[in-house]
Amino acid sequence: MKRSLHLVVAQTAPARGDPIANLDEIAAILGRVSPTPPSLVAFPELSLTGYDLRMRTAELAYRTGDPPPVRPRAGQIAVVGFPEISADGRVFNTAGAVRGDGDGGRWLHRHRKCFLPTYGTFDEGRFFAPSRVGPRVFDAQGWSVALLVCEDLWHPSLTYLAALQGADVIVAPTAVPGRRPDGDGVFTSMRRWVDMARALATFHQVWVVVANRAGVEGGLTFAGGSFVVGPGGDVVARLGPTAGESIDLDLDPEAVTRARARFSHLRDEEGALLRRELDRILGPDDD
Amino acid sequence: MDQLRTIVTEVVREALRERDAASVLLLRPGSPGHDLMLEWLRADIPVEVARRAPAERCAVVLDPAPKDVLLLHGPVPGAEVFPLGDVWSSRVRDRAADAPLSRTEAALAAVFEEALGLDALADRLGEAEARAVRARLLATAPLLRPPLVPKLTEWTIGIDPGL
Repeated sequence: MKRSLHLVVAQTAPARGDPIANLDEIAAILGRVSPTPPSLVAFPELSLTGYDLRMRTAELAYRTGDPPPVRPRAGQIAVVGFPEISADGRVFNTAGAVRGDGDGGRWLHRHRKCFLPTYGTFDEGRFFAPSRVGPRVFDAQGWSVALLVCEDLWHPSLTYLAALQGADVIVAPTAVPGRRPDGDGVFTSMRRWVDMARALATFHQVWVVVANRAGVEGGLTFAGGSFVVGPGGDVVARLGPTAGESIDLDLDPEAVTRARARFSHLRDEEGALLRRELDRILGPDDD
Repeated sequence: MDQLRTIVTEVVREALRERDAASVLLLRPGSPGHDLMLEWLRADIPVEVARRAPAERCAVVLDPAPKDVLLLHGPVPGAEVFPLGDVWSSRVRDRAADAPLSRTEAALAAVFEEALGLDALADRLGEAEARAVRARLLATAPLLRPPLVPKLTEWTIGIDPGL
């Protein structure tokens, strides 16, 4: 029988261009999370390096073959974000899950960001390469987990693909800017994310975890406001706008089963229909 | 704590960290933006005041002009940080005592904060003045790229495609 999953969302304000300071902070946070029960600790997008790296993006990137730079304790899985440089020199905006094995950590899974925001104030397309590989599901303490990175969540095709592969939980490290402060310590811009995550959780009956960052970089103020939505579409935890806040929560293993028993949308989903229609719309695959 | 104040002062602190500087030089003395920034900063950041940016820099140079002033009249040359550059005059004046809005400022505040579109300027300023303000905005906005502005709205100064 599946056990509950101890989830921690650590809302940090990564220091720009200072991976040593960020790794120290991550190690300190992991040190405070009990290794029992087994836990998944989620950090924000680009949590190892800071967000707005610009011309330093490649310089600060981790090589694809390198061992994980974070060392969770045994029984912990840490989800962190970092620039990743592949053997052919492309730099991706990656989220990686690292399992602590008592002797450091080993990679469980990596997801490279597919959709890079390059509009308004965002410049990611100038500094990162987009991934053309969708999400995959990996086993985390008996749970099926998929990773997406920030803007990926705006593309329901990716959450759909994760759900079709059996994801119970979608974890999205993000760096959502805070826009239009409403005077109550909440950024209006974060409300849209909550609405979207609630819709996605409801469509697919999955947990949606948004680990957003806080702090300031290059005039951008990040919104904080990390949150968790249950498979019934309800917000079960939500943080304020400041760094240092965290969510600490046990995910009920029966919640997904209950939601899917009540609403059979995912069971009734028809992937073959979608494939036929995509073939018709897009034509032969030229890749 | 006023959230706007928190964000603006944190961006100034970020500039100090990045430049490894200990103090700021605040321009536009006597303006509502200047008085507001002085009130917000002087408790924990050393502030000097000047009318123009010096050639030799130690302090981080702040131009405290609100967004509409920057769009209509441009920045003070040499300024590095525009702490109120994404804040309309109306919001600065809300926080500064005895500083009523000019007719143009009030019209711009209404047009932008209520997202009415530039055509609505004519209802408030008359055709001729609205045409002149509109022409100035359209000429300035695409060229204005101040180095560091707190990004508070969807379309921060320098990336305003609606103009």
